[in-house]
Amino acid sequence: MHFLVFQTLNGLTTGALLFFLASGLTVVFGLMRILNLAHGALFLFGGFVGYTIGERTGSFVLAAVAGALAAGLLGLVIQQAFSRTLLGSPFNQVLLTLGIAFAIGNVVLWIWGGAPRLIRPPEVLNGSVAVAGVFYPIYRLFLIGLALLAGALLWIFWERSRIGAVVRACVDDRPMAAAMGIPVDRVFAAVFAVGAALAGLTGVLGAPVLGLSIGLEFDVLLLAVVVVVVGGIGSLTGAFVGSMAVGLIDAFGKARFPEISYFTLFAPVILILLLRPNGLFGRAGVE
Amino acid sequence: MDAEPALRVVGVDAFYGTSHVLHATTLDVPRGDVTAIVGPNGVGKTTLINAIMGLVPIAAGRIEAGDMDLSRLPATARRRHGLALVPQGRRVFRSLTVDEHLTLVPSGASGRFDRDWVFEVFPRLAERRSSLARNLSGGEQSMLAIGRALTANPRIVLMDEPTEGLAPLLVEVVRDVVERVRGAGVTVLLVEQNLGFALSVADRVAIMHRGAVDRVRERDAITDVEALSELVLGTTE
Repeated sequence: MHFLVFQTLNGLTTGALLFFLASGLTVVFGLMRILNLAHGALFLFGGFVGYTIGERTGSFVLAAVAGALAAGLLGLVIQQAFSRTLLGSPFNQVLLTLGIAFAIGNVVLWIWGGAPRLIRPPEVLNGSVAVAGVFYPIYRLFLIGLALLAGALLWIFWERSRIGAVVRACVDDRPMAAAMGIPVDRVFAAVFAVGAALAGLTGVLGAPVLGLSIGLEFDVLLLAVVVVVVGGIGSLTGAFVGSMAVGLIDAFGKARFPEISYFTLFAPVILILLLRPNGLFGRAGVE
Repeated sequence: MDAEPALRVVGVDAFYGTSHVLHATTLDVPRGDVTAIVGPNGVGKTTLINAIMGLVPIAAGRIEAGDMDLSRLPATARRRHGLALVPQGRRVFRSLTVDEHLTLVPSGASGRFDRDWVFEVFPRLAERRSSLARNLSGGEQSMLAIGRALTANPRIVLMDEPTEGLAPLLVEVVRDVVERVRGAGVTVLLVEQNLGFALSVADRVAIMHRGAVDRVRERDAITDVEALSELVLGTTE
């Protein structure tokens, strides 16, 4: 029973972090048909910037804001610099964004060195509380709650706000959106930047749990891509459900069958894709 | 006719993929009138409309609205200069509701055509205001595509076969809407396969042949509809 509660909470924690990461990835993918393989590197960059700001100021909130801003800004620069190439063939996109990912990784190594870092959670969220007979870190419970809140806010923004409608219109039919006077290029840039900022924020939020180390960017990228594929490209609901599912499968798989944890993660994923090729919440006919 | 035209197409060439569709097409669209472009299938009517809106790039020539050269402007900017499009095949945004389509862009200060106006002329859309566009019938999607273009309060509205596939009763509603739009001083450029509909709303008919406007006939000067029909279908030269 304790095992079940403990691993469920671990899975939800991973799921919460994955959701922050995958929501940006899936919206950018849905909107621009770009699979941004530098998303994990933006996560790592944001995390390290947050680490430095946290060390200087002692404030976790400032660290999170700085991590989000730094990654968002870097994302915007990438989008502006490569927008023509990025809108080209998928093969170019893969090579380009993968190259950018390695470049960012090396810049991080150059600035912060190779030693792993840890960001301490804020003072008020230190310690543990009993949940169903298990002592569990408050900070991790906070992450789960934050993901629920962010999911609800993002959903309301996406489905109910006028800006959300504008972005959805661009996803549905880019030329017609332009013919309606929507500045499609600016919408793309803004969405890319926000997605990157979310990745940077996740780097800071995740650092107390995952730490910060070179190579982590590709571990989290792989999981985030799995979430996007399982949840369905461009679907926020899919990103949420997919994140929690992947988080839980990963937690239980690693705890029960640590030697074959990649198998326990990917076997259910393959099964889902066999049953629903467009993902859980994907729509048929996405080009 | 003496006044400066609302829209001028001057010697425009355009390609669809690799095929050369428009050949030095020239057309003046007078202000405040309804001009219908007619002609056989594949003659380049839709390409011309899309080139005017900026969805198809032009390889040569100019497109002007008033004294503004639109030729190199993207579609977004042409919208700001007063153009709006009712596209072929409706192309509504599948994941937006009816309401969202009609409030997507601010209706402007002199917003004569707003959501309420659209609901008044198309009451069916008011009933379905919360429905996603992908769940609407074909007829409802046609009404929505027209309403969407008008809520932008254009000075010139381009309509590409707005009556395609519509029931006769709905064709009458669309005719009424076109009349009201013209009555509000908006210039209408219409592509129409249905010659009867075109002649019933248009002040002038532009006949296209082999990628160019061949001749323009004033509605009042058309006495022999059968002869015009043959001209449009290209059975006589």
